[in-house]
Amino acid sequence: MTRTVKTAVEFPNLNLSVTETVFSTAGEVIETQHVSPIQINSPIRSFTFKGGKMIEFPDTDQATETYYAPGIIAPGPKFFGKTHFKVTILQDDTRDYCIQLLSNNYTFDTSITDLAAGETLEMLKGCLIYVYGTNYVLNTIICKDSELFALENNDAIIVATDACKVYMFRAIPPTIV
Amino acid sequence: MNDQEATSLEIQAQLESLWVQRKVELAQELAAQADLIAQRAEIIKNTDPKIFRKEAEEIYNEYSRSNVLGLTHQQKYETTSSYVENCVISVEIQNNQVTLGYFDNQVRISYWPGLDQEQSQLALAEIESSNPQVIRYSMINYSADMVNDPTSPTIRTI
Repeated sequence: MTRTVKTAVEFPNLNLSVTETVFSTAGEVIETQHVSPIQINSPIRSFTFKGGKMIEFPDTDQATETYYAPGIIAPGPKFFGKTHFKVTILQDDTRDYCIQLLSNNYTFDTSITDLAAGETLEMLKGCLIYVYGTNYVLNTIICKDSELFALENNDAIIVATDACKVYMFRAIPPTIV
Repeated sequence: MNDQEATSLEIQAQLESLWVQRKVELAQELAAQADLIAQRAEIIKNTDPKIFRKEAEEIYNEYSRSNVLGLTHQQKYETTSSYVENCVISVEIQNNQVTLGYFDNQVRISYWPGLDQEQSQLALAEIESSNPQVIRYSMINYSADMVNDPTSPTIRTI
């Protein structure tokens, strides 16, 4: 059983870094006790893009959360205010992307948009997007698999040939009062 | 007031005086300890990050060959973070429990030589309160080896 963490890729212009974690074997358990409760302004967001996970919240009456890719962006509301988490990997070769803010005081803007076949979505540059699908066009690129894109220089127009799902991550600078 | 009562009052007064004196001494000891913690924290802040990272890399090489579970003696490793460049992961194993920390290079306070655990906790609490990048947690149960992969995720730039 191994948990392999790839080397992070940094996008200073986006104020974000990305790494990928691969959990080799179903049944792996990672149980953590955080010093501080997870907050909505956590500098990390992650999502499972392959395989599945079960998350338990020991010491609470919170129901277990189980999800398979494509899934939710974590930490979601069920995580907030909690410190104790137990993650069980449900499938071999489960994979996560972990996206982290590069600067203090920045916050995340995230979204998941479902596109039906034939629908179009425009994303303004300055963010990371992950398109979960097997048949879509991003600008002029014909894509046949799920993929992460860094919109550093250009906006993106995604046309769903078949239904797909678009995750978006944007770093928002602190508001100057 | 007879002699016995007078003696009792005198002893009571002496005890109260001794207690007041001890409280003053305790306050002075605590103040000295706080000064010591502040001085050590300052030394750590001024440590050259290159030295820190070199040491961390060497230690991590040892860590990557080890299996986290099954260790009952104390071991400590530090490595550069795979999540944020210039951040460091501190790995401490004691009694089969693993404590991981992420530490920003600009503050660089962790379980560093010269700080005991209690002092580190005080320093870390202060850092955490002012630095949202720092996330600290203990591994309670961990069934797999953690391996760093030098390759990066494939991301297309648009």
